[in-house]
Amino acid sequence: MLSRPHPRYRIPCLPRLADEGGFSLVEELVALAVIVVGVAVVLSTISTASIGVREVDEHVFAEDLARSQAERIQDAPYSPDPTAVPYPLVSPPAGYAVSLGVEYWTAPSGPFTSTVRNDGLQRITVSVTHDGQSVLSVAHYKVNR
Amino acid sequence: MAISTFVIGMLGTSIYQFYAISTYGQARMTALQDLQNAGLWLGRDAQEAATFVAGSGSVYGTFRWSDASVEFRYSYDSGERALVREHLVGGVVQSTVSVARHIASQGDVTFAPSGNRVVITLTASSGTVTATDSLTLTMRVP
Repeated sequence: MLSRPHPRYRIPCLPRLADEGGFSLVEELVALAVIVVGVAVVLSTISTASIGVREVDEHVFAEDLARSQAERIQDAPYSPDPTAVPYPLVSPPAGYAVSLGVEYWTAPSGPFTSTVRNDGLQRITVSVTHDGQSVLSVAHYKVNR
Repeated sequence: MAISTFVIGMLGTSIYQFYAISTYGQARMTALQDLQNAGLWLGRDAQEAATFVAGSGSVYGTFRWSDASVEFRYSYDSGERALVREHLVGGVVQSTVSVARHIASQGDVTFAPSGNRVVITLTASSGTVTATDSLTLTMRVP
């Protein structure tokens, strides 16, 4: 049986108002969950945008690098055996690397082969990597003329 | 109180990051677009040209066809802070186009001819972001 508190220890309280209900724990948690989801969406958007900028960045530099490399090869004399006399390479900026892959035409009707032969036509693939990751590859042809 | 502080902190950080990264990304994209656009124009003109004649003053130089009938002259517009390309036929300007904006100074673009090749270096600046690219082009026409 509950006894009434002694009047001396009774906590004084004001009369309860109608709009003083406050929020329950469940309501607080739901509100928090909504905010966390919203923040997560914003952060995800930021992350996606950053990745997009980085990709464009890589592609612009890689395209110019590949083009510069192709132009250097176009300007160089035809090398019948690039394994012995390699084509000149451009100097890539920090973090980027350029590599060449040469395939040799088999006269008179092909195909291209990786075995060195001198039938006057080569397919040269310029590959550009950034921080070890492949960014793009461009193939072009070198003719002995 | 702790939850409110955490939530407000997260929101503040998110808004700041959103602003900072958006600003950086936009500036970077602007600079990159300038480099890309200039590269396309320069590549096109170099492939059609037989020679590159260095210029003076605000003119970097001119890509010239073998019969000199057609020229593509590149210069710096200090007012627009842009790399400008002029298409000339018989010495008369046919068209003018800004191939790269956000070029802070004339020295941010260089043309270095060497035989059939021209090495072009461009630096575009947008806000606090700077992007520099180097392009090697070969003039194809003998």
